[in-house]
Amino acid sequence: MTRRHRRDFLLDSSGVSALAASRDLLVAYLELLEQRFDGALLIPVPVLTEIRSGHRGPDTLVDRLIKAIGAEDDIYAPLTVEAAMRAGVLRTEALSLSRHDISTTDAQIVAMAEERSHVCAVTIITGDPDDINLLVGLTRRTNIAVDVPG
Amino acid sequence: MNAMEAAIPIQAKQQPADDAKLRDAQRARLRQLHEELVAEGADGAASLPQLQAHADAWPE
Repeated sequence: MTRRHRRDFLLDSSGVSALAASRDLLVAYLELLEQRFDGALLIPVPVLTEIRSGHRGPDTLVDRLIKAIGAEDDIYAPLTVEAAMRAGVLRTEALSLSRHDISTTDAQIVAMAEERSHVCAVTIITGDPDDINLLVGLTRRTNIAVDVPG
Repeated sequence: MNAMEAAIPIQAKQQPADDAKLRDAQRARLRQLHEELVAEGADGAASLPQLQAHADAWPE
């Protein structure tokens, strides 16, 4: 078996949606996490704003995933003041390289990944990798991966 | 913090995800969710090889 090493996973809203859309895919990710990594599965606090509508029933897969992750309780990925400031810089740099808008939340997620990358390797799970990859490249961190579910 | 400081890549701060007890508790909850989903008929076998291939390429 491959040795387990520390790697944290940050889910953006499209990553949460992708995992919540397929029980099989979510099971596969949970098995990968269990088998290969000493890792936490984290939903960045700004992403909670995007995935919470208040209209979902208590038994949806999104809610079950959030409950298991503990994103609203004891384990979560906070947006620090430093990461919030850094996100602004990254977003501004990315806007100068992009022909379309770069979302504030994407910049915040990547700044948070950059922050965590000083502790351990990080994988950002997203369904929309283009802007995330652009922002990750601007951090110049070499231990941040971007993964598209499916 | 001024603008110049914000342009400097940030360093890590201790966060909830760095607490070993919280990480262990999360792993237990994720195992429980996995067991529930499998009991409901979910099967990750079709996706896992592709995910393993992705993970092989992730930089450490």
